[in-house]
Amino acid sequence: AALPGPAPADWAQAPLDPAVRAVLVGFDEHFSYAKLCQALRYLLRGGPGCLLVGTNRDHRLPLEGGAAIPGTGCLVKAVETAAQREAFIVGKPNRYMFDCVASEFDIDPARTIMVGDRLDTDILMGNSCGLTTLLTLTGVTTLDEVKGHQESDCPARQSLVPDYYVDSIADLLPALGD
Amino acid sequence: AGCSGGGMAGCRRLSGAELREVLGPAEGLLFDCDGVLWAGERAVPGAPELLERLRRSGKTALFVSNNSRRSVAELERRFSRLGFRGVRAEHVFSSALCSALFLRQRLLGGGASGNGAGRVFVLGGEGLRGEVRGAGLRLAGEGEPAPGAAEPVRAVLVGYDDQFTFGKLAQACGYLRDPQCLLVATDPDPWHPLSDGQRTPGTGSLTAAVETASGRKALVVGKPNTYMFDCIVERFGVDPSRTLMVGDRLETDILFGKNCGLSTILTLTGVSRLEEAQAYMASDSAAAKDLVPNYYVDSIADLIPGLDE
Repeated sequence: AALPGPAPADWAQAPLDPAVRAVLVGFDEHFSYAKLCQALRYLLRGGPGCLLVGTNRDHRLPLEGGAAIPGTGCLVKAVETAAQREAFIVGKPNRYMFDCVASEFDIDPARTIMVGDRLDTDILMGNSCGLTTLLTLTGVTTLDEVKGHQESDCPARQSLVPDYYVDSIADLLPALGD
Repeated sequence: AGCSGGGMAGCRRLSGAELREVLGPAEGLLFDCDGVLWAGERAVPGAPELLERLRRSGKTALFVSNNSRRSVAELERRFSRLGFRGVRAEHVFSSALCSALFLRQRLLGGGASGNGAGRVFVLGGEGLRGEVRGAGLRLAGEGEPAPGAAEPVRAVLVGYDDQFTFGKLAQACGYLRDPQCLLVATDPDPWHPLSDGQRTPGTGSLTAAVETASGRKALVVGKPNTYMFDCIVERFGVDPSRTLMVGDRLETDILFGKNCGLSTILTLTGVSRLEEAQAYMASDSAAAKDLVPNYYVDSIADLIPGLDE
């Protein structure tokens, strides 16, 4: 619906949909202050009765050449800060998505491998869920970063260390007989 | 004036003899604006009279606001429009002005000329942009071609920006890839009250987005950080032990007073409730104790009886 007027004081008068019971923050390249206002209004109206959910907390989406665009995590943080409450995060490294997959496909973690390129999402989720974790180096992570975590005393950093790594997932082919 | 320094503040209602004992020796008062002097377009009843009585008593009244929307020239007009007499722009320290002064110090302070200082990318409205220009700095335009083509952007300034977009967030991050580019925020406020009891998101929520995307921490100019007090001391030379801080928000105004060595008075016409101050007082955390005001009043009009007729 169009906003009634140019200023936040006007936007705060726009009617709220009485049926809204959740604010869901995902990747939104059209994110704006006006949308942030509306999210805040729904969360204040509903209190704990209105869910605040974020799809994921990624800070940045890398582009070629080292540039990056802001990730969903930035938008989640903006809403959390304005509303002074914490979002429920669906995506990795939280285990909710693994629980969805496991219940649908009857997965045994002890016999399942998680393959990913990000330590703080893919590998952390895999380790938290009891999977064997395999890092591929075709993405954002370098071996030096892994070594840094491995050599650290911090248990939180230790949980970012994968069980194995490959240069690329193509390196798995020789292990599969034909 | 009241005690500052060791020990927790007592959150006592300020009235009667104690009111006269606290106000009597005070040389000056620093006032927050929103929720203290006015709410929206209405002056707090009795507030203009209080300022007039302070003037007649020979006490200085200065104003320190985290609101980064308006230039101090606009604020001077606002004071007048809402019935406050004799308040001039030089008495008003907004986070917009102080952010501009901060950036001037950091970008021009080394003797760099206007051309060598680099530009500032401002996320904010025309009031904030005007203060930055007024400090002798040049602004980066919006929707420009690849960075580096023109004079480099040496600072990103996040203020209250009701035109904030994903595109501006991405542009800010582009500039912040240069580790020499400063990230500065006008204030940390997560939200501001609207006159009907709703809330509008504050600079703090936008700064959180920029910090998350860039992996950097912002330098925050506004309360509770003390930079704005440094600006006040530089211009007016106030003595903290003879100055009272009056505000409505515990996490910014009262903590600011504590950080600057000022005795603090919470007024209940704005954001914070007395119950919140009492909860901080009862808390075990050392950080919480710093949010407890020395005194509170229902409104700043309650200070009038503390002044000589």
